[in-house]
Amino acid sequence: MLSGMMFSGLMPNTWIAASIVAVIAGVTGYFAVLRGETFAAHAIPNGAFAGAAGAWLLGVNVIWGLAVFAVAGALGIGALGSKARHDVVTALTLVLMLGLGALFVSISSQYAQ
Amino acid sequence: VLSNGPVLVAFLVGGIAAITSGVIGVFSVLRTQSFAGHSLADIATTGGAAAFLVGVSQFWGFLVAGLAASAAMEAIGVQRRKGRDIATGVVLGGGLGVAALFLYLGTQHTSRTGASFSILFGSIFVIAPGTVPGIIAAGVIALGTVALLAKRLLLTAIAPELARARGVSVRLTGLFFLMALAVVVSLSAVAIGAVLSTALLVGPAATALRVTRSPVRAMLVSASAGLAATWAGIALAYESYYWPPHGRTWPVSFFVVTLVLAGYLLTYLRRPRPVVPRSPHEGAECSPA
Repeated sequence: MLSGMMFSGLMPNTWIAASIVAVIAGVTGYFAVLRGETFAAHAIPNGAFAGAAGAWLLGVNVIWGLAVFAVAGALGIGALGSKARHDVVTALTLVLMLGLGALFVSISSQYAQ
Repeated sequence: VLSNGPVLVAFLVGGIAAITSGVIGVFSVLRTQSFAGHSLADIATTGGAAAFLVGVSQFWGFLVAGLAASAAMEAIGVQRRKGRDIATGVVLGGGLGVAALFLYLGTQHTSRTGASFSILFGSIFVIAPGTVPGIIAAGVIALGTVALLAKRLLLTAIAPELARARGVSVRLTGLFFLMALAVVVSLSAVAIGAVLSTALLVGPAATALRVTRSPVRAMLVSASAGLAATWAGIALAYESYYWPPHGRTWPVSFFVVTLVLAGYLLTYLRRPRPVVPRSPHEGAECSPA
């Protein structure tokens, strides 16, 4: 049985956001699996976290940081991937973005102290 | 710098992780298993989080989770080239979900919010000296496994049909390789963090394979490049204490990753070798011979 809390308070937003993500991811994921791009599908959102950390450091809306890093990551994988092993380039792009993210987070936590 | 105990341990553990990752990385790049290598590192965070929750050394958590994940990937179908990245992705998704739960429970119990960050990005300056023998043993076991399987690994990567015809079990070889990979990845996850161990696994190996075609030479180049990046990264991180904003070091993983990537991009500056038609015997270095 669903409890009364299930559709009140913050829960409606959770249901809406999760449903939107599930549907979009389901449709996009079809192509990602078909094209064998599962690694890129994992790497880009993972690395985009660095953009969020950077935006937070600069005091900009986090969404912009996520968007910029996601697009930059995709372009990087596309540009380098045409000339070399695709999975290697994906891994290196991911790792660079995560390294930047670690730097951004450590700098902002230094300021916070 | 060298009179500092934790820094010495960092140089030692970082060095071991760089060398073993460099050697195994050549095989995982040749076998197109960078995603598997990265996923095993990511999933190892599940074990790291569980170990944090139970209060055991993270090293054992990393190791057990990595081995379990490699077995799961093999069971789902990592051996077929086509299903490989899907099997990897499925296991990765499951592993990260469980990691999220463990991290949540862990921070609930201990109210240490820095846990997820240190598990993901590593804490090379706070490795307990007691875990060093375990790390050395794991490195030796993984390198030994790969040394024993080297010929089969190259053959099953380059010509699986030929390998099957010669009676090599492609599946068993793949499983042993994934397990060795899991051991190495958990090792370097302790050193530079679960996520960034991918950098040491893929970067130096890919760089080496762009410089030389011989697998043995590639392993040497890869291990030395990884070692150089790791040691220089640790030294720079130590030095960054005096950089702005003052009073704390920049993350080691940032320096290591940047150096690894710079090395890889440098190989693009070399003019591509003219393609000389090769005689069948010339390729012998890559074949099982």
